[in-house]
Amino acid sequence: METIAVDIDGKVCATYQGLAGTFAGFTDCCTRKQVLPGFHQKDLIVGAERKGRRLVLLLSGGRPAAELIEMMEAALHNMMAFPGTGGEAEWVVEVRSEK
Amino acid sequence: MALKTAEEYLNSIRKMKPRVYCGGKWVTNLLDNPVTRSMVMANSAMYGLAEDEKNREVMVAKSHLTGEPINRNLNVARNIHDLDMRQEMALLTSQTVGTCNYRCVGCDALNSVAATTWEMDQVLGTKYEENFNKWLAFAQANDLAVSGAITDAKGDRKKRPSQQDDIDTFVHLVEKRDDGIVVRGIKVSQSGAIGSHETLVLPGGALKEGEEKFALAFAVQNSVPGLSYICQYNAYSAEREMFGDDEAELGNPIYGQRETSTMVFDNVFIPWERVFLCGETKYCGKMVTRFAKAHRMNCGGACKVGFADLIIGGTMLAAEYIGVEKVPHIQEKIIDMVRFSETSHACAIAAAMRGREEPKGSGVFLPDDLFGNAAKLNIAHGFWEIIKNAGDIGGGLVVTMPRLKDLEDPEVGPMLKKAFGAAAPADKRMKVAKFLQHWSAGLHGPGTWHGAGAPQTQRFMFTVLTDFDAKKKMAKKIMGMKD
Ligand SMILES: Cc1cc2nc3c(=O)[nH]c(=O)nc-3n(C[C@H](O)[C@H](O)[C@H](O)COP(=O)(O)OP(=O)(O)OC[C@H]3O[C@@H](n4cnc5c(N)ncnc54)[C@H](O)[C@@H]3O)c2cc1C
Repeated sequence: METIAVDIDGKVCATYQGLAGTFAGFTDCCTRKQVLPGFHQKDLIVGAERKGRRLVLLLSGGRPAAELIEMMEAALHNMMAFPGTGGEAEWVVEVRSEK
Repeated sequence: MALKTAEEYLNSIRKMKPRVYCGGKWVTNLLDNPVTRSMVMANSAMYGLAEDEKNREVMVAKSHLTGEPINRNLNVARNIHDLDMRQEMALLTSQTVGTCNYRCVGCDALNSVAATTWEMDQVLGTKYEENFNKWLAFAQANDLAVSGAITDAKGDRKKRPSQQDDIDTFVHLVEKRDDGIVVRGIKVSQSGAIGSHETLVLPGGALKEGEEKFALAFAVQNSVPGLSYICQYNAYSAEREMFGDDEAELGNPIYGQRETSTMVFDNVFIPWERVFLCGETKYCGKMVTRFAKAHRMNCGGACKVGFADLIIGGTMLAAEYIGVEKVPHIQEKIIDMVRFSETSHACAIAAAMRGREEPKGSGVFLPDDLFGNAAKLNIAHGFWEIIKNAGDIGGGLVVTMPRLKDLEDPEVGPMLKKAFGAAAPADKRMKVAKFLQHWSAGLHGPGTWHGAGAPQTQRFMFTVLTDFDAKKKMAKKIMGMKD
C-alpha cells in the first residue's frame, strides 16, 4: 500500500491510500498521456512534472480550491486510491490551477 | 470495509469515468444510459445478494490472506466446499438477475492467477505471487468488482499472434520500464468490464518461445487513461434505448440481456506491482487452462442452469395461461428442459466434488476438468433445446406480440385484450411472451455456446482427458480378447 497526499495551494488537504504503484500510474497518466484519470478532456492539464516524490500539476482555468479538491478526489478514485486516515505520505500530488 | 453494500457499489461506480462508447455516442455516466445502466444494476444486485444473511454461506467466504469475510467473487478456493459454494453462487446469481454475474469471469481468472503465480515463484523464483496477493488483498478489502479479460481479438485464426498483419489483435508488451510496463492491443467480448473497478487480464491462450511479448497477466484500473470500451450494440440495446426509463416493456426490465464490450488498450502503463506474468510463455497455457477449468464448471454447469430455471418457470406460466399445462406433450417438453439443465448442474457439482489442489502445495483448489468440460458442452447443446421448447410452448405470440404498452391504448387496447386473453388475461400472457422472447430470440443461445470457450475446445479437452485405451482394454477383457 502507498499513501498519497494532495497538496493544494501549499496545504495538504487530503490523503489517499492505494496499492503500491498507484502514484507511478497516476503520474504516467498526467505526464505521458496528459490526461487526468476520470477526466477525458485533453486540455485540462497545462503542466505536469515529476519532481522526486512529488507530482506538480497545473490545471487549466481559474479553479477554486474546493473544485480542485473535488477533482483530485475523483481522479484518485478512478485510479483506485481511496481516502486515507492521514499519516505519513510517501508521495505528494501538488495541484494548482491557472490564475 | 470488507463487504460493500449494493448502494456503496453504485456510489463508487457513479464516480468512475471509464471511456465508454455505446451505440454511436460516448457515455458520460453509466447510470444515465439505459443500456450501460442494466449492466451496473446487475452488478449492484450481486453486492445486494451478499448483504442478505440467508445467502451468506454461498456469497461470503473467508479470505485466506486476511481471515476477513469477503465477497465470494474475490475468493480463492481452498477446499472442495469453496468450489461447491462457487458453483452454487453462479446458480443463485443467474436465478436472481437472469443475466451475467459480471464478477464471475474475474473470479475464475483470479483463481487461475493464484495457482499459476504460486507455481512460477516456486520454479522461477519470481515475485508474482507476492504482487498478486497484495493486489487481491486490496481488492478484497475494498470489495472491488473485477472483470476478467482473456479473449484477444485474434485476427486470422490460422496465424500465430506475431504473424498477424496487425499485432494489436493480441494484447502485447510495448515497453518495459523501471516502474512498470506499457501494453497495447484488444480484448473482445468483455462481460461487464465497463461497470467494474478493475480487470484482471490474462493471456488469450498457450504461447511458445519467441512469443514473449504476448505473455502478459496484470490487473488494470478500468478508467485508466488509454483504455477504451466499445459496447456491444444490437436490437435489444436499441429497444432498451427506445423505451428509456419505461423498462417494464422489456423482457428483463432491470438487468437486460447481457452486456459486453471490446476493450482497447492504447499504450496503457501498468506498474510492476500489478503485473503477474511478463514473458514466461511456458506458463500461459497453464494460466488459461486453469481459468477454463474453473469457468466451465461455473459458466456452463451453474450459471446457465439458473437461466434455464427462469425459462422453465416462464414456460410453465405460458402453458398455464393458455390452459395446456396438463397436456402430456407439454409436460414431456418441460421435463426435457429440466433434464438438460439438471444434467449440467450435476456435472458442475461433480466437478466441484472431484476438485483438487493444483498445483500440489499451492493451496488453490480447482474443479475437475472432465466434469467441468462436460457441464459446459452439455449446456451448450441443451440450452438450444431448452429455448426451442420455450418457443414451442410459448406459441407464436412469443414472436408476433405487439408492445405491452399497446394494451393501454384506448382504441387498440380492448382489441388486444380480446385477442390475447385466454386462461389468463392478455396482459399476463403478453408479459410472459415478452420474457420468453427475450430468452429464445435473444443473445443467450450463441452466448451460451461461446461463453467459456467455443464447444470445439471442450470436445478437444474430452479427447485429451479421456483414457480411450483403458476403455478399449475393459471392453476386450469382457469379450475375452487377448489383444
Ligand atoms: C456472452 C459472452 C460473454 C463473454 N464474456 C467474456 C469475458 O468476460 N471475458 C473474456 O475474456 N471472454 C469472454 N467471452 C469470449 C468467449 O470466451 C469467446 O467468445 C470464445 O472463447 C470463442 O472465441 P471467439 O468469440 O473469438 O470465437 P472465434 O474464434 O471467432 O470462433 C468461431 C469459430 O471458429 C472456430 N475456431 C476459431 N479458431 C480456430 C482454430 N484456430 N482452429 C479451429 N477452429 C477455430 C471456433 O471453434 C468456432 O467454431 C464471452 C463470449 C460471449 C459470447
